[in-house]
Amino acid sequence: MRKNKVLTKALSLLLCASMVVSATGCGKKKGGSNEVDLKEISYAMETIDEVKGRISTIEPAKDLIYVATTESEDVTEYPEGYEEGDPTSSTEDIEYKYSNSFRVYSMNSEGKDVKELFSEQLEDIWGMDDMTVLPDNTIVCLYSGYNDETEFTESMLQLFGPDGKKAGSLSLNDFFDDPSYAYVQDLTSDKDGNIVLQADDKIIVIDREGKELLRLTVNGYINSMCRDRDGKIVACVNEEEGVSVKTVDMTAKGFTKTTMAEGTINRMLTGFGDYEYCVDAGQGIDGADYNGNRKAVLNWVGSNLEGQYINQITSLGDGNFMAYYFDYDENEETETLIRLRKMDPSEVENRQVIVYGGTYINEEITKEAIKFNRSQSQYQIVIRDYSSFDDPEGKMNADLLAGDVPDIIDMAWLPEEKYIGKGLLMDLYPLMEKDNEVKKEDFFENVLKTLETNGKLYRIAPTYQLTLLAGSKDDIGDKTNIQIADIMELEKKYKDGKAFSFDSTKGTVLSTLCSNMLDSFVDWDTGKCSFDSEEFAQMLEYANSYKTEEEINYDEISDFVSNIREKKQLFVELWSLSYEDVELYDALYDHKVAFVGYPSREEGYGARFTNVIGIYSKTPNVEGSWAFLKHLLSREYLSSSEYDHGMPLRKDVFEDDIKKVTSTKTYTDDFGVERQPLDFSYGVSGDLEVPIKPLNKDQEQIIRDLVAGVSHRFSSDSDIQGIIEEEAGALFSGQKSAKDVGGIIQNRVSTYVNETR
Amino acid sequence: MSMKQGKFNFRKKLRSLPKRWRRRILSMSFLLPSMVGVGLFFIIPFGVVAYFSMVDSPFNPSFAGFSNYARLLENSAFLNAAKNTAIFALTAVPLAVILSLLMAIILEQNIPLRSTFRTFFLTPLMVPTASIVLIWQVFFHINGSINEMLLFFGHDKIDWFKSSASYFVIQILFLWKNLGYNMILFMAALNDIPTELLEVADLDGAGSWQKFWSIKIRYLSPTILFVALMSLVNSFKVFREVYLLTGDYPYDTLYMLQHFMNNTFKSLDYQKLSAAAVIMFLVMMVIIWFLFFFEDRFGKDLEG
Repeated sequence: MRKNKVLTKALSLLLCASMVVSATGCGKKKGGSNEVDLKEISYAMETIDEVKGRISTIEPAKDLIYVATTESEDVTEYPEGYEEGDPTSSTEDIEYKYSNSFRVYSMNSEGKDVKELFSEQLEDIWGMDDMTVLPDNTIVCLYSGYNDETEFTESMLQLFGPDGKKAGSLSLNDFFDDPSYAYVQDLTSDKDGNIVLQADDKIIVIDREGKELLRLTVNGYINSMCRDRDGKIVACVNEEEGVSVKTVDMTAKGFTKTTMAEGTINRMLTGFGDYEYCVDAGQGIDGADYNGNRKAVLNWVGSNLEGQYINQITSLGDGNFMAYYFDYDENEETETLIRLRKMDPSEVENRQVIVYGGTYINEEITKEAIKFNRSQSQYQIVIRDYSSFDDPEGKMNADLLAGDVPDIIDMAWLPEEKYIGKGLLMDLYPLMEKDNEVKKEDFFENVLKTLETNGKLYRIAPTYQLTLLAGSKDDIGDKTNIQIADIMELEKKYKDGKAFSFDSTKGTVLSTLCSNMLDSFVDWDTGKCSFDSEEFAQMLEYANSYKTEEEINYDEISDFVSNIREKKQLFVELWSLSYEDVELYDALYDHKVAFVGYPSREEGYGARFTNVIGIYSKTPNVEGSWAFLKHLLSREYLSSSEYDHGMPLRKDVFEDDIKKVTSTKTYTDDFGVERQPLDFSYGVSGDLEVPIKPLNKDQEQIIRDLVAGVSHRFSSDSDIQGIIEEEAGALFSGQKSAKDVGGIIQNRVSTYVNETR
Repeated sequence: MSMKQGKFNFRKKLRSLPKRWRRRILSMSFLLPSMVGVGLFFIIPFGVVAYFSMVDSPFNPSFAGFSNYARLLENSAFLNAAKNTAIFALTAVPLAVILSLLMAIILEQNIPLRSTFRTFFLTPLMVPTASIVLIWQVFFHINGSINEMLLFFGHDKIDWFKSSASYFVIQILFLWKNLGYNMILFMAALNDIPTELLEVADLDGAGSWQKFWSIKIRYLSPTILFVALMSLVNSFKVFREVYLLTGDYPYDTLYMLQHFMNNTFKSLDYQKLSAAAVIMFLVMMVIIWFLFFFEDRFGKDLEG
């Protein structure tokens, strides 16, 4: 008896201890920012101006770095009498030709002491694709080209001595099973001076005399290969069973599989220090080892570098990198060789790190983060983009639950409502109230209201899309929404007319209507659904009146403009109304255009938000997070943005936009940008060319009314949508009635809705 | 030197303890690896689950008392899942026990093709779940072979997976998959019953029913308990087949507790999931206690 008591007490103690351990473990991490140490991921960019031209290869050797640049000149031979642009001139006898040349430079690992070693004018078909340098500084260049006579793609290796003198050549055609396509994708060399070629699914190792030493074939294809830290060859292999990292074992004559860490590998690079190899991970460079450990060593945004402009990045093996910088966005292209130098911790500014995370982060956010980082010295935005993982949302949620939460969460394609329901996000209204620069009144209140949850603003988006139907005023009248019954009436009126475009199918119409009308059939507050209603059955029947994909005869369909003019298509679906659309569709509908909201129980127009952002409710960096969010909401950023995201949430940005599209004279805006009056044209199929000129007062008023009429937000739910589409199949194939299908949808969706309450 | 001193002291200290304590320490040291394993993989995770069931959010946790339990008990999806799971277990488990026992008794008799039947009933065990699902879809899909047969005999099609008939489809699937294994267990247990006892009963003029009820059932009671427990566990596992056949949100009669848990896990509703898990644990404890209680009552005279 007493023994039992002791055991019971011991068990209780163990339970208590486990509770304490788990409780402390669960609340351990409070913010992702602590996970990022700027001192570990910061690099400085140094340009090496002595190297000119398009950089093709950067190759570190024992004590020097070799860089190859290529040039290509169009030397096409045109037949006599040929005139470019003249449709009567025959193009048959044109001999398209390019004269290719390349240059090889050497420099030390600091990018200093740059010397042009040699240049080579290539003959006939050849182009220089890749280069590697052997341990004795022999330079091996890979040439490839298409032979018009034999119609074969050929490859060869040209060897050069350290002084640039030719030291032999070697045709690679014989190494291929298919001699008509001897194309080598990648060239490198190992520590023993063997030359390694990669072609699709093969790695072929040869010596400098061309003797084949090893041939390995994978069950898929090889993504990338490089020399690892110790000079062995390592490859990222994509096979049926998944992606893996394998090293080439010259002794065992085979691959050795390693443990690969999770995450994308865009390109493999030589490792250094603790890292056996490095990978281009999209948002920077990660170092990895063969035991599956992977760690960020360079973060583009954290280092204020525009990663999208950095190409051909190569690890120098000492923790520094060299790359080809090509800025294609500027009015004038900038291209140069750069060295990315690991910054000494003492050089890195002591800034508060703000992590901006999401599963899809667009390029513009990255650019703005860099601009923001450069504009002040208090905060440093670091981007954490989960898109490189196999299951981005799953990986991000796992991190969130582990307490590794970004300070700012980009909720594009993420379940915002669930995050709000779980208390992940902070109410932004109190931040606005305290702020002198951004106020609630700066935004369109009717639009802002659609983002609220119980009077609180847990998310915000700088812009939104006005999702509407364009049609004729004769058909729409003064309605702000059109219902399915109205559409059916109109279709009765115009015998051949259908509301949506000729290529709409049963499935696409149902999907469109569902995504706009979902809230009409679900009451999220009470959990009641009405998919068994007459209204839903009517919607199903309406979608069923369209054709299936197989039934559409694309050859018989007349063009878009004729369809609209002949009332075969009554409406045009506008996913995101732009200012110019008012003018375009006015012309299309014979100056009688009207815009109407999709069928919905709610009066007014619907808004769609694709770039919703929120701040983590427990972030220790509220001020920094709000500062960056304010930057994304600022008039300066939105008015000067070159991207079109739809309508701005800010009133002053909207007024700036209105000025841009209505002004009949050239003017300089508040940010010093010269704005020209609208003057271009839209070519619409069916030979309709619509000139776009500055909008008139009536057109401006249409846009103002549409913005003022926004009353609700389109919410889509992939689970409900999936159930509806699955069940509707039985209706579309004639197996069940709309009522029966509605009943089953009601049954299944009710479970879903009640489960989430 | 100091190490030696320490070792000596420890031994001395150990020897100075009463024998009862020394034995306890010895047995605890043998038990320790298991206790660490159980603690690490069962008790601590259970502690985490209990913790999550009493906070209001996994991201921003603050103590919420029993409010998650109260909300859960008002959640119609949970109540429906609990009801379906309970009904399924209450019907499928007794059927699985009774039918397999019956089959074992029949196959124990000297009937022709005895071993063929035994193999036949065991084959479902060897079929992978994905194949079972495929077979069931071929049979019970709205355009499946069963409906084709119904049409042939002039009956309307039945939407087996999306109507109240779905419950029977799953019952049949469960029994088809589990009867063979249970039957083998019962056959082994029947073979273990002492034949002398049955011969004595025959001499005493006991009828077949008397022998079955007074001897066989008593000897079978630990096996019945085991088969019932296994069937109970397997009845929860039927989710796997239901999920593969009908997805996350099936027709409401097929919506089981595991659907609820799986879906709430996916939607990060950890507090609801944890509260459901704790409730399920408590209910299971009660059921298992009852099973042990009955087994104890029935079989105590056999265990000595």
